[in-house]
Amino acid sequence: MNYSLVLLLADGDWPQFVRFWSLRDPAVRAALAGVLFLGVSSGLLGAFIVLRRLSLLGDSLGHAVLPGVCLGFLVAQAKDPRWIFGGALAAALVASWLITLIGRRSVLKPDACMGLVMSGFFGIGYMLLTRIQQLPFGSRQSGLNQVLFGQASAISDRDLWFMGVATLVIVLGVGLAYKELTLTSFDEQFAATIGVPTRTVHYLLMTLVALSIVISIQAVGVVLLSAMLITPAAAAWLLTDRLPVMLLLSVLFATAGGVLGLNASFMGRNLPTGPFIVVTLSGIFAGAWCLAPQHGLLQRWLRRRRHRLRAQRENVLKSIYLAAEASQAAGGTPPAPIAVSLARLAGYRDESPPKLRAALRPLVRRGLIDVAAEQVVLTPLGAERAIEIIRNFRLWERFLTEEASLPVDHTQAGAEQLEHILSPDLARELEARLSDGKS
Amino acid sequence: MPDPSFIPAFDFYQHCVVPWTLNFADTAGTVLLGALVGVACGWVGSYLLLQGLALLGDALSHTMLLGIVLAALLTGEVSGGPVFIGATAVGLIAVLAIERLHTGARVKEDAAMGIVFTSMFALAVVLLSLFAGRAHLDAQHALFGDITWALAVKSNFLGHEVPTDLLQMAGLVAAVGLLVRLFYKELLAMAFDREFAAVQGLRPQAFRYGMLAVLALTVVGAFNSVGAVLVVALLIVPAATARLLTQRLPGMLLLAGLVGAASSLIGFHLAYWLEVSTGGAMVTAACGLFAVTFLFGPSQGLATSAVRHVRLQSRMSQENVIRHMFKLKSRLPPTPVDRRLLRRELNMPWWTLGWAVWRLAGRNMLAIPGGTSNELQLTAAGEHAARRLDRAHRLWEAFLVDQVGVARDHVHPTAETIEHLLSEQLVERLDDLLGHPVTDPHGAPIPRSVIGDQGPGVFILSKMRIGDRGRVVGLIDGGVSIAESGALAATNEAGVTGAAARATAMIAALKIPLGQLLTVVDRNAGDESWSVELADGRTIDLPHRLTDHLLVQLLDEPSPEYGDVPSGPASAAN
Repeated sequence: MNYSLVLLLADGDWPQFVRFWSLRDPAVRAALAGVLFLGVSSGLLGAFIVLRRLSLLGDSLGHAVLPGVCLGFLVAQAKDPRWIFGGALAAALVASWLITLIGRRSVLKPDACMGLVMSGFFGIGYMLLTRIQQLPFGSRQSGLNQVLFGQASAISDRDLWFMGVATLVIVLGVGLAYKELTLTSFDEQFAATIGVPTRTVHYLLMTLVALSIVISIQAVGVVLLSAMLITPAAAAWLLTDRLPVMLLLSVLFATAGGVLGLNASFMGRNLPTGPFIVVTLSGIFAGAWCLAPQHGLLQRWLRRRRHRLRAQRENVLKSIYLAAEASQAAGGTPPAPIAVSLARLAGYRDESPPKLRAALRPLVRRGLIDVAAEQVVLTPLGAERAIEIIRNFRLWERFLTEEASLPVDHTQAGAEQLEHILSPDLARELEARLSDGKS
Repeated sequence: MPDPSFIPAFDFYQHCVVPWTLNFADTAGTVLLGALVGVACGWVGSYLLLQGLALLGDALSHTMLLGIVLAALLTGEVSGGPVFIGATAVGLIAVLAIERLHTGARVKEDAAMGIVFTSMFALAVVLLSLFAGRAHLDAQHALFGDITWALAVKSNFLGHEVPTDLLQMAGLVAAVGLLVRLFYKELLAMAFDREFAAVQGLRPQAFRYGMLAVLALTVVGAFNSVGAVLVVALLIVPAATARLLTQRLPGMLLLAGLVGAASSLIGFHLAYWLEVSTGGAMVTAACGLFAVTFLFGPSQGLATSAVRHVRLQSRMSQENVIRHMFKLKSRLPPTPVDRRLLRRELNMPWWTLGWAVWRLAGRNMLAIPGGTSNELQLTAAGEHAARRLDRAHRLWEAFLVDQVGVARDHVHPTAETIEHLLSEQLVERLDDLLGHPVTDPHGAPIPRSVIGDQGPGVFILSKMRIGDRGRVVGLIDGGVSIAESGALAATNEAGVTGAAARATAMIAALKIPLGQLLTVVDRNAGDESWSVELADGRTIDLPHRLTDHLLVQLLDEPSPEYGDVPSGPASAAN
């Protein structure tokens, strides 16, 4: 994964790796505990954020906490978690209030309001940050620089205490309101009709999200913390349709991404944690996207390939039958061992003999045809399949002409697409509809 | 408490004049570069905003950092063609990835955007922090820019040493301006009516990729001075400010450019004063301009509409006070009214009443005979205004009952509000439509119109009530009165057409001499006709369509105060 890439690039040393995993270093222990808290809280809430399509709101609030953090730092004149968390929470709430206010009282669309508040707050916050760097207590305490991209190793015991309480609140909140959150996430209108207070649930969720954003500032930093909410949950959503499983996977991914990213940044001589965690999470997402059983790229590619190959086989089978049919002087169904010479088939299919042989090979392997002495003969199984396909094709053609009223010369293309996906049940149904539709 | 040195004392001379006198070249260069960035961002941002692409533009600007970093690592240069190509390519990949994710996989568009932008941005930051120092690229500058640093690199232009970035940005602004000029119509169509644009043969996809390229150009151009993160704010904030002020595209472009340029100037001084990042200060200045517009903007400003609301409330409470005093006149002896009685009956808080009375006294509508006492009296001007209101109120009630078919006991509340909003013309139109009624649906008298139709005391005959005496002074025709010596004559002047011309002709045929005295003796509400006794003893019936054209000078004040219905207990009802 990208993990090895990071190793390669950072030419990180193995003693650091051992030091990390032996957990002897208290700073590493604190950072790991912080990342675990973070993984649990943002994994849980992220699932609801993604389902409710609020991803960008998380992003906006993430950027918008910067001025709050800076003001909290200014008031306390030190990295006091109470002031920093308090300031961040206040800024997140003010930002979400402003987004609503500007959206309601101006012509600007909701997405523009979000972008406006987020980038504006961030710019103001950055200005405050550069101001703090000029101040004596700001340069002394370099801790504030790390709010941009996070530094998990700077998590103090007091920070950890706050993070623990916040995580507990989030877990309890999600646990207690689980049913309401689930209902409103999937079908808000239905939830409202059966008496779920949807507005209250929304505000509860927003408060919890603000809380989780605030506790991820330390480890991930304000610029990228939305990834902590969105990416693990979206990866989990690709893998399952069930919410409990999704929550579990989301927490798992968030935690794994956090720990691995932390490890990578630790080995890269304490580089900012956030980008490493986010790159790891993106790797997990990319993996899930490729390998997901239903929605994954690989599965989709395989499914499509399987379908294409089957359609090719069936087309060859059909052409053998049709070529045999055409070679009969009298017309009608060809006699029992349906056979056609290779040359004639090649002419019928307008293909070169080598290409034809290649196309015939999978059919021979499946026991549908025999090729002997320049002659292609359908086996009984092959004949049965061929007749079935021809039948499907002609049923469709007929259906499209009679029921869908397409002109006769326009039906072939449609029927050729559909013949491969006609199930036996559907074929019977079609047959019944066309009542006299025999071949 | 914050450190007192957090905000240094502001000194206009020190912070606004000195930078220009001390080192004009650098100051002008900084402000100019910032202004060029602001103008380019304002223009591109306006189109993004109108297209509803604000957030996509935001996400893409972030991802372009990856392209810039990759190109810089490969070529060792932070500006020029390769960086632009890198940024465009990465932006394109990001767009495709977002589309792929939300059409192919079941990730919603917002989440897809979030994932793509954070991944690419994080990768860029990882690369930056690993290779910081190589290729003149360090993390803080790449992300947030540094204008002084951007101005340090100079190149030769027509024999002068000019900062390279300044040249580049000037070229960029010219290019964006040229594109806007060349594709003005196409862009306009795309921004406001995509279906129309599609019908015109414009391709939305091509447009999107064109926008992407221009965006990449802008991000790359602004990279050195404000960085890849703050450029997002400069793309959206000036454009949003302009959008609040105008609905027209040229105005929006002009204003967005102005706001962008002004942000640079204000931001520079802010940064000079507080010793902060110029880019951050520029964004802060832009936010300040947005906030001012949002609060005090002429049409939608928050404070502006609050003031408008307060004004309306104040006017309504003043009008309620005088109308109530006018109504009290009919049931109380004509003595000053007690303030407490008003408060009780109007159910108004004391401060609202106090304010209304103070304003009314100032406008000479209320007299306070005892100085500061609680006794209040309507002046002639106040009564005039109250009559107008009462007339509007009762005519509206009559309209709702007669024409709309609302039940009689349901009309009062809406009339209570609308009386404040109906214009003079509208009230008179209602009066005409209802056949100039004299009582409202509750049987209370409707006050006469207080403003003459042609000069004081001159009304159309329709507005006269039983017992009124008057002298004929002319004909009215679409607002033009025609009086000739001797008798009223029909005219065939241009502009006098149709029903109006026929009506004047018919009145002329009656041969009523000008100056004729007449008295209204009866009104028939059913077919809306007026019986008029002329001075020579003749009595003629005039239908509504004729009486509307005959101008009469009302003689003596009408005897009962309200007209021809004696005031009784019914008038106190509403």
